[in-house]
Amino acid sequence: MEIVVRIVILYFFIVVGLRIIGKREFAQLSPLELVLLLLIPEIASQALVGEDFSVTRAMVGISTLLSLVFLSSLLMQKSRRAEVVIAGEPVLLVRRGEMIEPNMARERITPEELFTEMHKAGIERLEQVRWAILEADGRVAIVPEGGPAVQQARVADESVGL
Amino acid sequence: MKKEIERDGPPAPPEQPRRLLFGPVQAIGVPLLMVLPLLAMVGLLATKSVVQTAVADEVRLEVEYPVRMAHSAVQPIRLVLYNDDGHPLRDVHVEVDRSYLDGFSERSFTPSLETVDASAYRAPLGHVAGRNSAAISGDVKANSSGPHEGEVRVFSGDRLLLRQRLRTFVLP
Repeated sequence: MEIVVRIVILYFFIVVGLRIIGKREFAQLSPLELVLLLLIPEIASQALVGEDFSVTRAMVGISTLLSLVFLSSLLMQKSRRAEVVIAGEPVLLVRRGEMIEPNMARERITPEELFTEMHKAGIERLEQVRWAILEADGRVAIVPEGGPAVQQARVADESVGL
Repeated sequence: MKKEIERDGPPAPPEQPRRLLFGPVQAIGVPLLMVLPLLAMVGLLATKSVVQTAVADEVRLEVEYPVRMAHSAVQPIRLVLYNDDGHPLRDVHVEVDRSYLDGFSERSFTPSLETVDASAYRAPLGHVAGRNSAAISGDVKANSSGPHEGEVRVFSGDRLLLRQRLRTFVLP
């Protein structure tokens, strides 16, 4: 019985907490990111809670985490510099049909991955690409020559290297 | 890279004032969300033990016990009876209310507690010589949230020597 009450308390606490910090934190996760986010707490939980498995401790931990996430998003909203530090900046991968090799190497994106994203955008040749941009959220935006942006595809999971 | 994008890449988004605006849910909810970490930081959600002393005539009872503890945590309880008088106390025993101790599981005390009746546990201390002391110590594990209250009483024979109120709040 008590376990049910505990779960109900934690459930509503998490739902309300997530509702408070807003929609920005609910961006779609890739499978690898999801696995990463599931595994990290498993590894870190012992260090965080120690021998104290009480609901109070869990609620303190969760509210601390949610507060930090919210304060970080406030900082990013208020300061461009903080936004760059926390979220990163977009990186240009292709300019006017030419791959920018140093940027691709730095971001660990192979030509094959780039072409995969181009194909998803309905583009077959590099010369058709005006800009390919690795956005701060890990997606690759392809802007074709003489046309609108057509596709954003996620490659961050492939580039994590897990 | 931002400069490179601005120079040769797609146009950068237009600058606009960076303002912080909060909806009613966040304006109320975020401060509430931060209450728990703040309470934890100032130690109001941590385990806290105290030493309380009851004195009567030449007899003192010191009780060290948790007034606040986490669910499933194990905490020590120690009762020390000091006989500051020169005369011995005979047939001393300590009673602890079941209303207090039954809120805990895995009670282990030395000397062990015996059930007297439906309302109290009892531990014999025997004779306590003059200017001497006797102690009962043990551990309790909290398995029920909320306040647990009761009393500890020290008897010499049938004569009540001391009593001390105990109150432990078990955080959920």
